[in-house]
Amino acid sequence: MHGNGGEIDGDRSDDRLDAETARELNLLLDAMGVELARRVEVRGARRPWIAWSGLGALAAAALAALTLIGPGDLADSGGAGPAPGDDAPASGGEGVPAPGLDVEAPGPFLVFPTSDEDITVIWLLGEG
Amino acid sequence: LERSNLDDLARSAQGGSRAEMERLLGALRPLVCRWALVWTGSPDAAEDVAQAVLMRVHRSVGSYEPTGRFATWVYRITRNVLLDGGRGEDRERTLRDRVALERLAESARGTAGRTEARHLLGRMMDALSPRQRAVLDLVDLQGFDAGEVADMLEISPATVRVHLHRARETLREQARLLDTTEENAHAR
Repeated sequence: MHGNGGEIDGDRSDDRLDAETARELNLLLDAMGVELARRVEVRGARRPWIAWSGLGALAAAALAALTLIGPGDLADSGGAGPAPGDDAPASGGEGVPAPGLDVEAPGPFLVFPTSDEDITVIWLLGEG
Repeated sequence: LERSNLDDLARSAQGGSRAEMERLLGALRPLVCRWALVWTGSPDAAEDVAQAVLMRVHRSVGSYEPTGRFATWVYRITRNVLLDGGRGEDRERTLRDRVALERLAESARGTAGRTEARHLLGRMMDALSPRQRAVLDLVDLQGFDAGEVADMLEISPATVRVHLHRARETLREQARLLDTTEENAHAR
């Protein structure tokens, strides 16, 4: 796909970059594109895993919520309510997006950022 | 990758086979990353843009009509994503972007990237506008013709020529400055 110099009407040959400079820049940008593509591919490949781990977390959260609080309390809670402190998870009620994240859930949920910026754990506090 | 191969891959992917779609996206990924990188000057932003572009391609490849080059069609999606995301010409590059760019160039050094080219790339990012960089990359480095580039960027061929002329002039000047700096460094 690559080469030096598409033709342009009225283009002056002395206006062009020298061939060696163009070749070197082209090779470098090609290699950088390949390297970035590898990172994008890795990111994309991790997402399905995150979805499955999220399902596990969902199940654990639902179980914990039922055990500790009871389904009656949860049904009235709407949102989980923000806890104080920097490490507190973001929370949202039904259909409410979490701040800074494009998340909408069918019910109350908690969002736990992790040290890996590509991974966020979302606990859906399911209806009892 | 030849452009005609990309056109063939696109036609095959329109058949709906998952394997063909994966082949197409795999072939596009480095190209879209490069385009986004040249436009944004930021590896992080380029990754995000590439993800969004590939998702849009995946979603809408069925509506691509093979009357024009597939690369032109994808570039226009890329441009729209860049402009939608506020990563147009007004975007200020930060020092963090610049450091990340240098690291990326360094990590790509195994296959390419002599030191002079890496320095010149840095100057290109600093001295040229995103549109000038895009035109220079597409015409002088990747060999697209002016009509295609005008379509890709949705500007007139005359504007392509103006951007190209200014970009070449500026980059040549930057290359001269780099040479002078290196000669002075050797003389010390």
